[in-house]
Amino acid sequence: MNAPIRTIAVVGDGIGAWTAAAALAVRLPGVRVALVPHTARHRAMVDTVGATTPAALPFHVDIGWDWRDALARTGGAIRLGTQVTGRDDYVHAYGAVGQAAGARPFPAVWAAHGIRPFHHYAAGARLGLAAKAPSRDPALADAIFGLVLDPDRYARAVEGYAQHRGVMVPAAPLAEVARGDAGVAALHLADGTHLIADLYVDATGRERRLATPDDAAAWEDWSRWFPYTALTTATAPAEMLLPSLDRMTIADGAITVASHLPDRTIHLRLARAGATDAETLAPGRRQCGWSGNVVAVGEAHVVLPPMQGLPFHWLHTGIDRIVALLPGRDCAAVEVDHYNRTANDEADRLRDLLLAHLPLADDAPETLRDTVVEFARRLRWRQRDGEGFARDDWAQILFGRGIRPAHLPDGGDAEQGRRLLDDIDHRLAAAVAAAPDHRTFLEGLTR
Amino acid sequence: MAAEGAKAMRVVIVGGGTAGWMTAAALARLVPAAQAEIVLVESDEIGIVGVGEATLPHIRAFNTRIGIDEADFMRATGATFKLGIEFRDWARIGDSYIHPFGVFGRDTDGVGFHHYLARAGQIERLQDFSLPVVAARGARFAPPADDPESLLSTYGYAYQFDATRYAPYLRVRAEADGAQRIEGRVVAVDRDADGGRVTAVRLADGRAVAGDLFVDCSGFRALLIGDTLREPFEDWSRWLPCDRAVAVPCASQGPLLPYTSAVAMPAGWRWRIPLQHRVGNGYVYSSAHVDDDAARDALLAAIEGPALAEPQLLRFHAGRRPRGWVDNVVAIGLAGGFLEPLESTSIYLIQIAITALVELFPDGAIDPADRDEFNRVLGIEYDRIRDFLILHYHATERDDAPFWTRMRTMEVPDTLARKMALFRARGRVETYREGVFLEPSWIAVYLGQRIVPEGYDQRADAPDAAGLARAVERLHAVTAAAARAMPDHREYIATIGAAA
Ligand SMILES: Cc1cc2nc3c(=O)[nH]c(=O)nc-3n(C[C@H](O)[C@H](O)[C@H](O)COP(=O)(O)OP(=O)(O)OC[C@H]3O[C@@H](n4cnc5c(N)ncnc54)[C@H](O)[C@@H]3O)c2cc1C
Repeated sequence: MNAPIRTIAVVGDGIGAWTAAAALAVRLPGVRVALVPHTARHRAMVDTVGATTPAALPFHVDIGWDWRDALARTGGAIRLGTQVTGRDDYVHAYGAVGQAAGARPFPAVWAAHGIRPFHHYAAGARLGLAAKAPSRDPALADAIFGLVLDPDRYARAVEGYAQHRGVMVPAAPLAEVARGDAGVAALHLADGTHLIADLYVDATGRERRLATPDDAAAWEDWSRWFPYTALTTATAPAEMLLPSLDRMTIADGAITVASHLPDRTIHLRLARAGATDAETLAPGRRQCGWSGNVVAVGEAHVVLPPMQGLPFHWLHTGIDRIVALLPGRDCAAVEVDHYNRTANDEADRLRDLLLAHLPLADDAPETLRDTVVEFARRLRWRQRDGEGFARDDWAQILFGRGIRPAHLPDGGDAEQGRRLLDDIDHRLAAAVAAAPDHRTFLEGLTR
Repeated sequence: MAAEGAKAMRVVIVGGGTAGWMTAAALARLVPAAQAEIVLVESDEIGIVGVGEATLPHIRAFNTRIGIDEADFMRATGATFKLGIEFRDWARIGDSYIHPFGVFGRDTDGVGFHHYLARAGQIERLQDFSLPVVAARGARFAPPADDPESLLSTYGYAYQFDATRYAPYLRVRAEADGAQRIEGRVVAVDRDADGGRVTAVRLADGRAVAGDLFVDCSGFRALLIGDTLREPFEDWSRWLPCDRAVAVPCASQGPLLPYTSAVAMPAGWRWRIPLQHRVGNGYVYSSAHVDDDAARDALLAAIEGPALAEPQLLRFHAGRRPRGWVDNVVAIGLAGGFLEPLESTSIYLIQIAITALVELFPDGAIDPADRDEFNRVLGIEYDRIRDFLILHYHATERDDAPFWTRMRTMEVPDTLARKMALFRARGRVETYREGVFLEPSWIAVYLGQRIVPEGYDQRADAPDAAGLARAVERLHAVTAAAARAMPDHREYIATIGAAA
């Protein structure tokens, strides 16, 4: 039998590296994990803005760190989704929207009889628009949320947590990477020592320090679909009434995102290339996240713009995938290929979700085109391979963009349809009125 | 919802076999009358295939959607419950495993149970940790529970029924819901002046039946999609060379088993499908490896009781039409493609096609995008079932007959080769979002076909060995006890008033 992996070296020093190290140390029995410091050339998006998707909650549970504790310790907040303005006005909140009428899915009922916006029937959107957070009211059970981590404080906390869970840190940082047939042969450190592991995790972000030049060059650039690549960041004082949705404005020239922490707001601006003081952030992915005995996490594999918590989402699901699909020490091609296929399927669907906020380009990726076209024709939505989100995530975005089905599916009796919509509306209104505001909710976590 | 003022589309279904009447019943029930008028043409002279007795659990959703009462349906069709399919003699002579409609053991911390069993060095015991397998072996049946915490919620079930009775049973409902039946043999097909869409079918007595949308349910004849529109047939016989079957019912002996059996034979395999009133049998074979007489004799020698009818010979080819929907013709059932009944998938494929047609039902003119979507959905289903079927033949150690040597040594599609290699490496299953057969089905067949993983998920090393061994034995005992507590299959059918 192919021997199991017993040692893993993670290279990097940002949140991505420490998170990967902690998760691998906790979740893989019998594996020792070292983190070899290497100061990345670019600051990763997860180190800039701490917005996550709901995937962060089970991720923290799985690594044995209660997310409430993580938030309380590091002064973070929650996010129920994103409020989008500019070209269109809509909310994308996580969780199911409305309620099916028998066999008739809610989007069909809404498309036939709805007068208020689609997100009006999403618990998360209603809470978010009121700067509130979920209570235990069953009417709000569908409102799920991600976290807004304070990148600076969370970085220190996750580093501490990783070390607490046994991640070793050599005394000196990375100096040189020695290559061999299988990928990396050894890591030479600045103090003249070296480190050898069964598996190497490249968490050096866009620098891709461990990738061979060939692997690093096999890059699929997404900026032809997403030309907003000039990034600037600014910080502003926090808002009194702490929003529980982040705000995104989409205009022709630029996309801006405001991410709300209890003590400050982080503003990001993604402009079409130009501004001189801006950093270039071109989204895209490397063809092979895993190659030989090296696997990339976060931006070393896929670069996503800091919208809707996607960079953190990708980091978390990528680490989960390494844990779930860990091969043997020989990193057999059949297992690695499987990893790459599933990773790329997922990355491409995240790209599609991102691009769904923009008008459909003539040369749009085929998977995105299929999804948008099928939705626009008949409100059909099929879960594709790699899909990380749900029908109602897509429905909120596509309805929000003004897409309406050309063939309206049977929405059922008008009277009944309207009554269902009114019922949902009233139930949500009452539950939201009684729900705690965001700051009160956060204070409750520490108690 | 039809566009205001649009007139109803006239749908002409050609053929009154299982496919034709399932389509008629579903369209009549699920498409508003203002949008569709349903006509079905069939010929008593020609008759139906009349085999096709074993199903997948999805059929229950179909029956429910068209308002069928389970006990009533079972009485009318002599149906029994089905918990899975037994495969005998496939990897080696003497082997037997069941592909159950349910999961194995209990996944823990996101790690599949079979990984824990592999770590404990006991993966060959996996079958004992499936409640439907253990119940099926004991000829017991009880419906699954709703409570997701309960062991009794870990499985589903299907039916085995008399194929000649299902179509007539559906016909009554379809007609009650407004479908109109026309008796007659189609002898010619009218098309547009430019040779495009079908406008009418002509019957032997001279009548013409005009329509806007035609559903070709004419079986292997493929009257419209093949004879008229000449949509090519993609032949898969290089991987699935069985091209004939001989079928015969017989009297049943012994307990009423809630599962179908597929027994490997020298040039194919033999089905055994227990119904309330008889047992259906058939030998599916490759005519290149055995002649018809020898096949018939082999079948008659293998059946358990006296034959109740003359053996019936059927011919077919494995494969499908790349496009099931062309112009204004939608092929459903055998007209659209055929995959041998090894995993009881034909009626399932009919159901998938009907569901897609209902969802994509034209309101006004036919939208080419609807056709493309229909063809995409069906294409994925066919391809994935194909790989699953090939797996049964290819993953074998048998070398006792030329047929088996051919199957063992043939080259398989890349999509399957990599799935097998992945399982062999570490017991991982390539899963997908669209298409039938989920992870437990693949695990059941990989292991049953003796593809034993060389490794397992490393996370299965987490529990201590003694604790794991105790948990495994406890689960084994609980599963056995739950199966023992279930009623006898035949008694249960009687209890719910489903006995014919
Ligand atoms: C050996 C074998 C075993 C099978 N076992 C299973 C199984 O276990 N499970 C399963 O799900 N499926 C099974 N199937 C498949 C199953 O039998 C079919 O999918 C199912 O019966 C549907 O057939 P059909 O309605 O498409 O065709 P048919 O039953 O052949 O019906 C064709 C119809 O078209 C009509 N027709 C044909 N030509 C004309 C004409 N010129 N004019 C008017 N009418 C015409 C006929 O009268 C008939 O009504 C099996 C198939 C075979 C061959």
